Amino acid sequence: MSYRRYTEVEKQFLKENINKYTYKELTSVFNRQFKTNKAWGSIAKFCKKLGLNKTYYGHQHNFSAEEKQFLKENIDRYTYPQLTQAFNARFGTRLTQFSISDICIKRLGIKRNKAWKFAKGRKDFVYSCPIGTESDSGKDIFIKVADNYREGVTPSKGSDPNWRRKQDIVWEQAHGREKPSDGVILFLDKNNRNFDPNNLYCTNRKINFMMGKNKWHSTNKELSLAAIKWCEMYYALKEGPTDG
Amino acid sequence: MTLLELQQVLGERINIAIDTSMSIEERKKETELSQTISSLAKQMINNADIVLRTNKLVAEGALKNSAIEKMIGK
Repeated sequence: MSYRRYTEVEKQFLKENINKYTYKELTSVFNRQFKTNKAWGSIAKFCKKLGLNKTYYGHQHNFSAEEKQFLKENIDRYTYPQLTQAFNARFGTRLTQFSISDICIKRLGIKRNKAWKFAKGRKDFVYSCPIGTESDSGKDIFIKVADNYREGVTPSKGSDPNWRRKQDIVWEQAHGREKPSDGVILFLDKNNRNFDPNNLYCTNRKINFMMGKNKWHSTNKELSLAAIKWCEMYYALKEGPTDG
Repeated sequence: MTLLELQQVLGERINIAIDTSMSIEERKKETELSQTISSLAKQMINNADIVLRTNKLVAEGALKNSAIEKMIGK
C-alpha cells in the first residue's frame, strides 16, 4: 500500500472543517469529498501534524439557559428521539438522543411523563380488603388493622404497617399491653394455628435464636417453656442485673 | 422433678439474677448456685427432648429392629 500525500486542497479542507465535525464525521465527509478511504485515526493524526487546534469534539456541549428552558418546557410533549430532533432543529446542533436524555435526567432532574404511568395517590379501581380481614401467608396469619395508602410497590405483609400478625394481636389483647419492639411471639406447642393465649409466649430474638440453635422448639408446651426459661436465665446471668 | 417445677425454679433464679438489691458477696454466691442449676436444668431439658423425640419415633414405628434396640437388649 503506497502512501498518498495530502494535497493543498485537502489540507485546506481539513483546516476549514476541523471544528465543524468530530474526527469520525470529518473522515466520513473527507472520504466522500475526495473519494479516498482514510481511517479516522490517520485523519486525526494528520490534523495534529498540521498543528490544527481542535475545539469541537461533538460530545462537548455547554447547554445555555435558553436550551435548558426549552428542554424543561418540551420534555412532556415528545419522546427522547423526537425531543432531540426538535432541539437540534431549533438550536442547529447535532446532539444525540443520549446527550439529551442525559442532561434531562442527570443534570436537570426532569423525566418524561409517560403516557402509561398512573398518577400518584390512591387508585379507584384497586380492590382493598376491609379492615379485619384475615390473610394466610402460609407461615403466618395476618389481620388487616388499617387502610393507609402507601405509594409505590406494595410491601410484604410482614413489613406492611396495615397488616399485623394474628398472634401479636391475640397476645396484646390477653396481656393488655403492647408487644415490645424487639419482641417475638412464640407458639409453645409449635403449632402456628393455635392462637390460644396460653399457647403464646412473648420473648425476644436472642432467646428465639438460642432456642433454635439448641433445637428446643418442641411440640410439648412444658418443655418449650422450660427451655425458654433456661435461655432467659442464661442471658440474665450473662448480662447481670443492670440489663435484666 | 417435673418440667413445671423446673420452670418455677428457673423463674426464681431469673428474679435473683436481675435483683439489684443484693450485695456483691451474696450475688457471687447466688450466681454460682444459678450456674450449677443452669447446667442441671440444661441436661434435664435435653433429656426431656430426647424422650419426646424417642416417643415420636416409637409411635411412628421407626425404631423397630434398629441398632439402639439391640444395644438396649430388648
